[in-house]
Amino acid sequence: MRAPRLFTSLSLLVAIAIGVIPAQLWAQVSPPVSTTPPVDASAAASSGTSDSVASDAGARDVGIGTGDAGTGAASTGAASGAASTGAAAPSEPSISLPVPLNDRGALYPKQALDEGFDETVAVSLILSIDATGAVTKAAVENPTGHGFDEAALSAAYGLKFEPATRKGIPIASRIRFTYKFVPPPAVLSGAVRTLASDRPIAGAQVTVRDAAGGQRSTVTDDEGNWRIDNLGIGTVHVTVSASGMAAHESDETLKPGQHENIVDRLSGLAPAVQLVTGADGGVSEVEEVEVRGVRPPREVTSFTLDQSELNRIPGTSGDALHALENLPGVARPPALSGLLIVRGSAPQDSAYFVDGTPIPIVYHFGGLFAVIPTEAIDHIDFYPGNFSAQYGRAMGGIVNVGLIDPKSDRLHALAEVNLIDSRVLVQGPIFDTGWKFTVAARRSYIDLWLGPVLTALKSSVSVAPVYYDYQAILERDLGTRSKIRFAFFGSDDKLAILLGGTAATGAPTVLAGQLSTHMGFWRAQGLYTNRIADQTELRVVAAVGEDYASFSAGNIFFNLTDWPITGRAEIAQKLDKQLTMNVGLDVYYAPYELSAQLPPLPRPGVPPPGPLASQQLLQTQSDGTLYEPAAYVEWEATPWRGVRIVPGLRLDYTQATGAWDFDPRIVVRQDVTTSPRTTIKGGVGLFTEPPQPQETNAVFGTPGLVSNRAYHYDVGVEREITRNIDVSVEGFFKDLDHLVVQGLGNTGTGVIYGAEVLLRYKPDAHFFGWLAYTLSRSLLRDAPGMPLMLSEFDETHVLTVLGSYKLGRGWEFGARFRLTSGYMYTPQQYGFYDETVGSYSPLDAYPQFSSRLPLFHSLDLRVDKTWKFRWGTVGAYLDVLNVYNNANVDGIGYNYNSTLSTYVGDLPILPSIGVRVEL
Amino acid sequence: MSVKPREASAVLRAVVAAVAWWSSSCSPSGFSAQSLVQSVRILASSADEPYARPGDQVHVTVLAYDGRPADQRQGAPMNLTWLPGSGSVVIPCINPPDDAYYGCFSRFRSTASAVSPGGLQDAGADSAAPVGSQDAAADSAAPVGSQDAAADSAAGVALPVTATSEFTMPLDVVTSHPPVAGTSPYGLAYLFNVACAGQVQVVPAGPNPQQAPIGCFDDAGNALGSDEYVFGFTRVYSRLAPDGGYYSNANPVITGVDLPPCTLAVQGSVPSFVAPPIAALCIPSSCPRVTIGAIVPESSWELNPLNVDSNGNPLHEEIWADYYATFGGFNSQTRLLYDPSTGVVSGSDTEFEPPTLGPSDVHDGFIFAVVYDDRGGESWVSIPTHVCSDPADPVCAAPSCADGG
Repeated sequence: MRAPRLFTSLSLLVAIAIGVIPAQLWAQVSPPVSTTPPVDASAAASSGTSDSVASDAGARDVGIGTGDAGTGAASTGAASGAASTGAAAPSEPSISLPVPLNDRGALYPKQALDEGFDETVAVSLILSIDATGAVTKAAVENPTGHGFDEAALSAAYGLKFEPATRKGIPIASRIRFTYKFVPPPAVLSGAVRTLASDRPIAGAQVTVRDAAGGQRSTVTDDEGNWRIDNLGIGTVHVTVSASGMAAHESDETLKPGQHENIVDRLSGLAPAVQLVTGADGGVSEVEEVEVRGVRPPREVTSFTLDQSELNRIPGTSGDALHALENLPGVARPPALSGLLIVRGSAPQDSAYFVDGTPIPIVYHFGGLFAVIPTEAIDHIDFYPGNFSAQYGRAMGGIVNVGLIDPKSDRLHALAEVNLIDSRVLVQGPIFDTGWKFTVAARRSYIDLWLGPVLTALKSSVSVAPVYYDYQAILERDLGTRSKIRFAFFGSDDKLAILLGGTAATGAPTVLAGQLSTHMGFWRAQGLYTNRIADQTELRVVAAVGEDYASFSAGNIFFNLTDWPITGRAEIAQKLDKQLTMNVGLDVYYAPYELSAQLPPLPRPGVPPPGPLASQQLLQTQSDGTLYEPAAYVEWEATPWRGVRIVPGLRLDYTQATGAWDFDPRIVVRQDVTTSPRTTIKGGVGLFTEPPQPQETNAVFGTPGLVSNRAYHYDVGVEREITRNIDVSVEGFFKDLDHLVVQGLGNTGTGVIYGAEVLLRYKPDAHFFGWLAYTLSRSLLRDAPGMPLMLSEFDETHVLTVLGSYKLGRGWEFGARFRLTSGYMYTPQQYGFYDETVGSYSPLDAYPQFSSRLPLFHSLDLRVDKTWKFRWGTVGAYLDVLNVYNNANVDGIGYNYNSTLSTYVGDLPILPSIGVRVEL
Repeated sequence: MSVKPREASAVLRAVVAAVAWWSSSCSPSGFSAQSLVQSVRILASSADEPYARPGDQVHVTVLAYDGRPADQRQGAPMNLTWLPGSGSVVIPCINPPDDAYYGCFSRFRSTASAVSPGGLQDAGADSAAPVGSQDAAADSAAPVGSQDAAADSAAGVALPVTATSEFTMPLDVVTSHPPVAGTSPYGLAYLFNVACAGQVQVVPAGPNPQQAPIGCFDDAGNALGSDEYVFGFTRVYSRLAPDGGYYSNANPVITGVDLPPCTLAVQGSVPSFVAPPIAALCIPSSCPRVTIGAIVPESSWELNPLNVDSNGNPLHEEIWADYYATFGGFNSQTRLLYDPSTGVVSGSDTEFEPPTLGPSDVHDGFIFAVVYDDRGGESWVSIPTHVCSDPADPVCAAPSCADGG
């Protein structure tokens, strides 16, 4: 607990030591009495040094001018008119000067503070004092302004003196009395917490160094709070450090009387392994993976989730990236689709990165699990819109996955087995070389049991899905300022659906034989960071790799392979205490090979193709290069207290279209209150996205395309309600144009707008949870003159409520409830019979996507149990999706002439169990 | 702990049952197959010149069938109507916007409504104006074929309806079509026909450009649905060939029906053929599938000058068959007969699955095989079919090849 009294006393001593309180303070203790004799007893004899103290340390928000009577001048009366200053002249012993009895000084005027005035000011008054010692008249000798004169006069009229005497008889007098206004000291306080889990850090060292080199230090209390009073004005440098955590440094500009409160969040030197006291009093080891939901400082929105939340969210089976689906602005993806629908944008409008290196997919087949397992993830940055200029080629959102830093204390191992896959991870130091490593791998085994089950069911279809992924990291710190890391990671998904019977009959229908897909990627990545100087930081990441995707069904096939070479380099240069500039290059270069044999698009002048794939398959085989370089610059400005303004510019070139795109963006955040914190925020920017490769393909594409374009507008407010509860509300508007419409070109336009609310209880020893609600509308128009219609990805309402509670003894129970609007679809009606090919053409509703599937709602539950042993921990979980087996709808199917329809169901109740061992 | 085989089997059965239940909760329910004809249906349409020359007289034959129960057929017989047309002459829609069939609807609606707001059934012989660009006479809807539909057999089995109309491909069909980059000049004629067990009327336009301009209504003015009404369309092209002439195409020929071990000879001519009756015995303990397929000679497998392989070598037509039946079903409705590059496809027959019958039940009806080529060519064969459950039924005796081959 903090001891304010002691703290004040200590502060006072420290303040004295660093010279904040002037020496005059001590004069108050025994005010010297001027002995300058007034020549004219009726006239004032000014002198005296009655001094008042400049306040105590508790008066943090106001300044007090020091009344300084008799700092020099002593009028000797009209007869002499002389005034002596400096040391008192020898006086006649029969005359004594008035002595102030109650001088409490004068407040540093608020007007001066408001006007930014921060100088020491002396205001001299001529005081008329009667024989009783009362001030009968006060006049400013030399007006100063800024409220100082008024403050001095107001204080003077409250003075009481021991009157002047002549030969022991009180007499009236006139004296010069000076008030000295010293700028009130500032107070700096704050809290130190973990970056990942927002837990307080006790015992952290906080050092404040002023421009003159003066230094004050303190440590945080049990709740992670600290405070230093009586700080001088100007810029101070704050260093916060704690054992096992990376130190954090910042500059703060203090103004007179200001109480500045700052919160520092420290990250672990190694992947954070914290000892957390559990509800049962035991100590549990919790590995943390931080997911910054939205906020690096350059973006509009912000919230942070850590893995102790992510791998416990019901319905995600502990998969970190699936936790994104529970955040505001993210729509419910179609079951097992693996799509990420951000603020009403199409999935392809969002981009995915691993530490800045783009990757083509984030989920294995059907979105069961992410291509990078939770254990290999340090954090996830998710920007739903108005993202930094460092990211481009996307109009939707950005997901950046940060790989873990390998642990350096000892060897660690982890293994997990569930119904779908198994995974292992090993990490630790490589002897005493300074290098540390992580190796992880995962493989599914659905094929081992699903095939026999389908065979036993006498299904004509047998499915053999297989996926695996792998990660290897080698890292070394190069001193305290730089780090180098090599990573190799990848993913591979194969799916083969064997259609029994069809091939045996020798009838080559479109799906004869086998339908298979195979896709994956790998990257070899190098990452180098260097804090070149206190004001300069360099970050370079480069990668080479391969993406591949193939699909075949009978004699239809599509194979695409590319070998992307990507690079990103950024220099962050602090130009000023209040201005940082980030300059970067972002290059994407990808040679590719494409081969395909596909049914042709409807060709003019010939009948439409029939139902069989053997007709007129269109073959294409090509290679080429995608080259998309970009450069950007961004400034982070903090011109006044609590504000952060981040303007940015980005220039992209797309070789496929030959077009340059220039994207200006700006984000502003302003803290309105600091404790509790309230922040208003906003942003506007232009975001361009090149056409998809198939859209510019010479065979299947449309010539003359340019980039899709979107203007993002955001405004919102964040408010801390308590230490654990905060709320954020944000509105967004996206204005889309130049959208590529197949066969038409860049004719599409649209608008997407909505509001997001997040009410969150941050993790404490027992509980975490949040309520996220998004209200949005996504409208598109294919071409001028056509109707503005709801987009396929419009989900008006998305509500997610989840929470997890530690019951003790290693048990934890969690629940998630989701309520969302149904997907949009285009109703079909009985239409026409196309006699040329023998099939019905439905009458599609106009405009498209004019109807919505029924409301979706689902309750998911999760139970975790952890056993602790001396050698490690064993955990088991049961994660049940759609507990009450609600018949949610994922789509709609029609019969051959669209007179009958039926819903295609979403996932029924789906239990998932797993066991996890950590050493 | 070990699991004994029987226990393992029980476990597997439990897993299978669970998976079956689980998977059923997210699977769509089944629908009747398109191949089952138990309503008013248009099954095929064939122009004697799928690629016609400008000025040619083109004859178009349509195959329809009323698969409704006999009482419904007699109460409201199916009429087959060309829109618009007069007698045996049909007025095509020439070169609609974007070559889309629904591009004809606005032309049709505005013209027909202007002339006869009350609808087609009231239109006089001259009420329906042409929707094509040619100067054909303004004729009304021309009912054809309904006389055939009335000719049901004594047993209450509906007979297939075929009707032929004709039109003249306009002389400017090619020149009036907007040029398309990369494609030799061509023109396109759409022909619309309606099978309606009621009255055809023009309906008001709505916001949907695809909405049909006509509907089928009963005597009370109620709109009839898919069981009583089909609105069909067919295409006839005219396209310049590199040699300055015009492309042409011949409809596929059906020379027989494969019914192993028999081959049934057929009667008729392109596009309409008739096979001798077939029969199938289907008792509850044994209801064998019947292998059946249309026989198309290789001579019908013409070169397709508009299709080449990846090496630039010319390909042939693709030829396939669709199968329909008035009862029962097929294991595969659509079968490929000729591949564009490899030619004849072995094992291209389908299997007819007779319906399950009660004791002494019989079914009489038809199997239809409609053969297409990918250049608009089309022919069909109708196969009278008898299915019974009584082994003593002489018609259901084991098939002999005496009738055809």
